[in-house]
Amino acid sequence: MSLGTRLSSLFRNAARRRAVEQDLDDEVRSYVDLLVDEKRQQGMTPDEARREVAVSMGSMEHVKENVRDVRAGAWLESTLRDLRYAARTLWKSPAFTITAALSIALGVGANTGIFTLVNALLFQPIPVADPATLTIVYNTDKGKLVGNAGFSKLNFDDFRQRQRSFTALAASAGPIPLNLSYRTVSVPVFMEFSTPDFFTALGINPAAGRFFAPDEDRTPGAHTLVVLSYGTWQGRFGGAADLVGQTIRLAGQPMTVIGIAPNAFKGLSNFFGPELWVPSSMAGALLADQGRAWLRERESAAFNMVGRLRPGVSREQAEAELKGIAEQLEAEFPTINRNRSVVVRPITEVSVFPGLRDGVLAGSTFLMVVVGLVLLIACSNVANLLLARASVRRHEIAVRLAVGAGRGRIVRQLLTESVLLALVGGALGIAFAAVAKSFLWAQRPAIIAESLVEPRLDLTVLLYALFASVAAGFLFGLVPALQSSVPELSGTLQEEGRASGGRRRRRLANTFVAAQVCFALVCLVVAGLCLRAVESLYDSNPGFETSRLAMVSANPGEAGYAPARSEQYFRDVSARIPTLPGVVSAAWATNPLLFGGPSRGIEIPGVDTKTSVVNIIDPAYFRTVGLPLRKGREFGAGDTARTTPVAIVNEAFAETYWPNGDAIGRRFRFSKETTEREIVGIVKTAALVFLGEPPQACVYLPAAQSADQSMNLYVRTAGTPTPMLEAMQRTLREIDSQVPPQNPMTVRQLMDNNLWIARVIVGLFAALGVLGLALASVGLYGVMAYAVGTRKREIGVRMALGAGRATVVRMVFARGFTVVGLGAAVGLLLSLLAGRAISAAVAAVPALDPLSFGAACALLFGVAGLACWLPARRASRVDPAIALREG
Amino acid sequence: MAEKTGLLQGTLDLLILKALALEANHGLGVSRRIAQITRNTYEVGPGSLFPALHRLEEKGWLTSEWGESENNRRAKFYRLTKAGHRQLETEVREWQRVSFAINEAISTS
Repeated sequence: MSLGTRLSSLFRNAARRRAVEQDLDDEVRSYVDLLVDEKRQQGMTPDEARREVAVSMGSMEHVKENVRDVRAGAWLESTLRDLRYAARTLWKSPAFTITAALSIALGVGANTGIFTLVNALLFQPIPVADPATLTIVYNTDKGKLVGNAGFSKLNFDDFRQRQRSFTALAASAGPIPLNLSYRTVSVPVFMEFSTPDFFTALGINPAAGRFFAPDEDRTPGAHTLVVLSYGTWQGRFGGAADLVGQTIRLAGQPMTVIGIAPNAFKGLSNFFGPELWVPSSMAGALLADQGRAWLRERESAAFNMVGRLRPGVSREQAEAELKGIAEQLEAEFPTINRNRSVVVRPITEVSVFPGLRDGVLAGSTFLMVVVGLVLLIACSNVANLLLARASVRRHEIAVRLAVGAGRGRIVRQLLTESVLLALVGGALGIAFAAVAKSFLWAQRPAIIAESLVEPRLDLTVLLYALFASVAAGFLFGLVPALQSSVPELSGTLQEEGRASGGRRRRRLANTFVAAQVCFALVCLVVAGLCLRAVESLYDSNPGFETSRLAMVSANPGEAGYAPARSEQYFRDVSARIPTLPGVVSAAWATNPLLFGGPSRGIEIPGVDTKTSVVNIIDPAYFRTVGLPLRKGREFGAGDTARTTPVAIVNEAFAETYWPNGDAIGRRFRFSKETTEREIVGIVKTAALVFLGEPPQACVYLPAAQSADQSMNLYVRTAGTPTPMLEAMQRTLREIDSQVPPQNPMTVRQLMDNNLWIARVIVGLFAALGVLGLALASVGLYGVMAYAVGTRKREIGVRMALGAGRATVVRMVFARGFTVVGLGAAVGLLLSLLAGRAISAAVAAVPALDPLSFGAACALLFGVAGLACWLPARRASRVDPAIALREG
Repeated sequence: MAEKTGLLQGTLDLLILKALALEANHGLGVSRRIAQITRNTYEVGPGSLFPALHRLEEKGWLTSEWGESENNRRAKFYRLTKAGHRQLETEVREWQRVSFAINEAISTS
């Protein structure tokens, strides 16, 4: 029976066990004392008596051990009996069991789902060896993290050579979108540049092949090697066993696959990572000017540092050493490294970038509170059902109390039932969460499909779900169990009638329902507001045409063309595409819409400047994309390589540097360039990265003055653009079969991808609202049905006294809607507050939207009406004669 | 668990219930009372007594509380619950049925 002992020790808490032990000890001791007394009364000396007793008793410990076994065995046995009984009881009332289990399943499911996400973002360890000694190094400016908290390659190299605290100090830059082509496929993927000891520092082993050797990062452009992520290997290459050693193309450059990273490893982020890694010395070869700058310029802080602490060196010691090196570097390069220092953080903190960490924490907490509320609502619902059921089970319980079962025993039995119910619901909830997660995961945008880190339903999540279920079981079970086990024997046994204490029960039930109504309304309103926000983002003018625009990329540079030949290609396409039927106009630009673009430093004499996104376009761009010109002129055929270098800026740019509105004719230059550019036009500010983002500066340059070999073709169509995609690709292949068309997409699809997260959030709140509403209506129905059931006699009397059916129906509705109205009033108030708070945080969300509020209320009262109507109909069919006789 | 006394477990339970039928008593008292009512046929030692008492308490037939013994010692007193009284009746009936049947069986020639 030692298994029983162990099992029981699992469940009983330590304090209670100590008390029980003490009690048993006292009991045996007192037995001995009594026996000694007895012997002494028979004439023995105290010593003789003690000896005699000790011999006759044998081992006291053995006696106690036997008692413990009995206790544990009995406990286990009675628990099993309770479980069997509970299972039988639940089985016998399937309607109750299904409703209650579904309620809990929805509550636990919502919790499990959200916690899966929170766990993935904040708690899931990154799959690296010995995370305790792995640290990340951040760049600080006057003690605050700067930008991406990264370092320039040159500064990093100095840190690496001078430090003694780490066995390996590595750097990586990314994730950066780049074009990957293999066989006939050409897709944008996110990649990362890394120093060769990156994988060594993390202590991970390749799933196949090898990682970079120490000498494979020496010569810029020479190490055409690539390591793929496991997911990319499986997803894009079908897990081909012979992939290692083969050649793929990155930005047109042939690269040899030398290895596959281990499964689930997606870099240092718990959210978003690269699909492949390339030696850092390849940055120039793959990213042209920008990449060359990363390798050569001390101010290009693109690399994040990660280090493996030397055994015996603490994080604080390492930080002190690196701070010292930072001071040396500040002395050596005072303009660039002014006020720059470092902080060293444990790797466990970087799964979310520190700049985002607070936001992610706040968001996670908010979501956990919301789903916690959902679970509470579900619990209150089940508690209501249990209270209603208790009135049916009163007889059973009264009989059990009468035959001598203690109140504690009954409570324990009822709680066993609740917890069993909660566990069934919880298991169902986990299944719900798993299905919902796979569904949402399958919906993720294709372009980042292999870069997103998959949230897993791991052991932590399962334990959390188990805990939530058991806690729910106690929560919804305890109050009804305590209430229904109050011994009111004689009363109950004598007349099986109206509940005394019924009023208290009813008030509790009504409060539960009002709270549910309140919660459901808030969720529905918030879902409505978010939906309106997404709608408005779709409808608002983001600075480009949203419904009749298609896009395709082409990179003649990847085909090995010289710049002149590439330009010829671009011109050929520009001439040919507009002749296709259904095409209004076509234009080239370097930046894909909503993907930002390269950012460059701006220099204006006497002005403190920042960076700006740069987009290189041809003259038809603004017309094609639908970006209105505010002032000045567009680019024209007159702007050539031989005329004055010109630029068009957006309003955000113009207002930042020339708030008086006189930007036209002004000049600026890019950092590290001598060419001055004259501003000839100002255009509306378009969304660059996110729809609804705050205005960002952007500079447009004419393609004739700044050639680039990788461009995106925008095509304005007369009708819907989707059918055009096929014709566009065909035409491009006809013009030059060497240049494969890439990423054909309508702008609508781009926006769908861009708003994916927003749509998931809307869906989440809508689901929570509908869930809350479903729970509230079940709760309301339960309460009303119960009320009608217990007040049959009163209804009978009223009808006998001449009340018509309509009066009775009105009476039921009045009661139901009092509760609903109260909940809705509080809910509306909270919705107003929530709306204002969300609107303050996310500008696109309106604080007050009559449609959202109206629709939420209409839905709520509609469903509440239905939930009242069924009991009301039953009430109106009460036959006074029968009701009075029965009562 | 009643090996040492050579008693069937059910028999020990019956004797304990019977010993406590009239008044509450502590462990040693139960032991002495059993000896008395069985005319010293059964000596129940602590090794069998305590597990049995706790088992009966777990089943809800006994309750216990600390009190003072006749010579002013603190002792744990056991008392029959309502369910315990009913159980005693059931066991007595059952015992009478069985013992009658066994007596009949062994006296048949």
